[in-house]
Amino acid sequence: MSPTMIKTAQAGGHHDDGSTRILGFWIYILQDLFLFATFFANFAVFSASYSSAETPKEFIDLNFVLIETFILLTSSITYGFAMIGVRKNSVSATRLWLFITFILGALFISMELYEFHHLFAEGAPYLRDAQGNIIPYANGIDDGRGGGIAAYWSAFFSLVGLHGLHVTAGLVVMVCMFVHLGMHGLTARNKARLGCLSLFWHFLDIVWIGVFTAVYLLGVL
Amino acid sequence: MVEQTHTAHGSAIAKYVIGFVLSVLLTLAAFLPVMNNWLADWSVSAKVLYLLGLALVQMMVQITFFLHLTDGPDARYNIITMWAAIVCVFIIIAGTWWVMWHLNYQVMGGAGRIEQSDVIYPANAAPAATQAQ
Repeated sequence: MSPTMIKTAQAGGHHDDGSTRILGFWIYILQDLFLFATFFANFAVFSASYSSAETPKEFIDLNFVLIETFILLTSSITYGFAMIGVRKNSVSATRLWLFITFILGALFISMELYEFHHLFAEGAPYLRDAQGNIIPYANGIDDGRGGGIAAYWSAFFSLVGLHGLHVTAGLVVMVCMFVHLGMHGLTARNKARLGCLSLFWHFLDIVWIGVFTAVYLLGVL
Repeated sequence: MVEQTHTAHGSAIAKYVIGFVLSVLLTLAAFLPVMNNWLADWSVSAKVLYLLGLALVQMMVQITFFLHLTDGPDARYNIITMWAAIVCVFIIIAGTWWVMWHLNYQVMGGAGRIEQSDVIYPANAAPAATQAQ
């Protein structure tokens, strides 16, 4: 940038469309962070409220979570490489790295769905009677207590599931970006969109640090 | 000019790679001790502080190296809004924890958390009743 350009940028107070969009999207992300904060607070409050359900210790497989973590972390850096492709104005590089990011994100979501299915199949979250049997929902008199899920597991699925929903939303937006890139290439608008998605995707990885620490690592202590 | 943009790309890649390597190391520093039971002798609060500390450091690393908040003319506002949000998040999480812990302690008879409630599960009360006889 030449000195005169810097001067005009400072004096005019003129913001290009992309940068204003990024600030607006950043403010959206920060309010999304409040949503996550309430779910984290909920999880912290119920972190020992197993009632008669199983505790997470026997069900958390840290090897599995470590693989999930590395997949999401790798997808964060591959999205970074896609953004470098954007800055180089290379549609093919952007598309390639975006595709790799998409595959990694889809892999992460598949692993999470597998984990949720596994937990329900093992009957971990259900309340149990004194003999250790799962209380069936229709146990003669339906007093509305049977077939319930312990508060801990409720908070667990809310928090981890909320993060998973966000990742799924990110994948949907990535599919939209493939369509946008195919139709118009790397226009200023598409660059701003990819910049917003970049913030969103890195933000999800940062939230995942909180999830694996609070839910999984502290869960097995 | 061409050279300038070239080095700019190079430093951008370097920034991502440094952030990635640091994140991998911090993740392993959190997972390996728990997986291999290296922290067995530590008190629970020391373990919690160690893990939460590593998480906070890794969050700061990723914000610094991945988010590029300081680029662009709105950089100042990005940082100001981020700090405002961090204060709110701290109040939400720590405040909720504090209030609920005290409610639990004061209202539930100081017994800590109730893991098995005989109010909800009459079956659980049966062994205690036979012992009384």
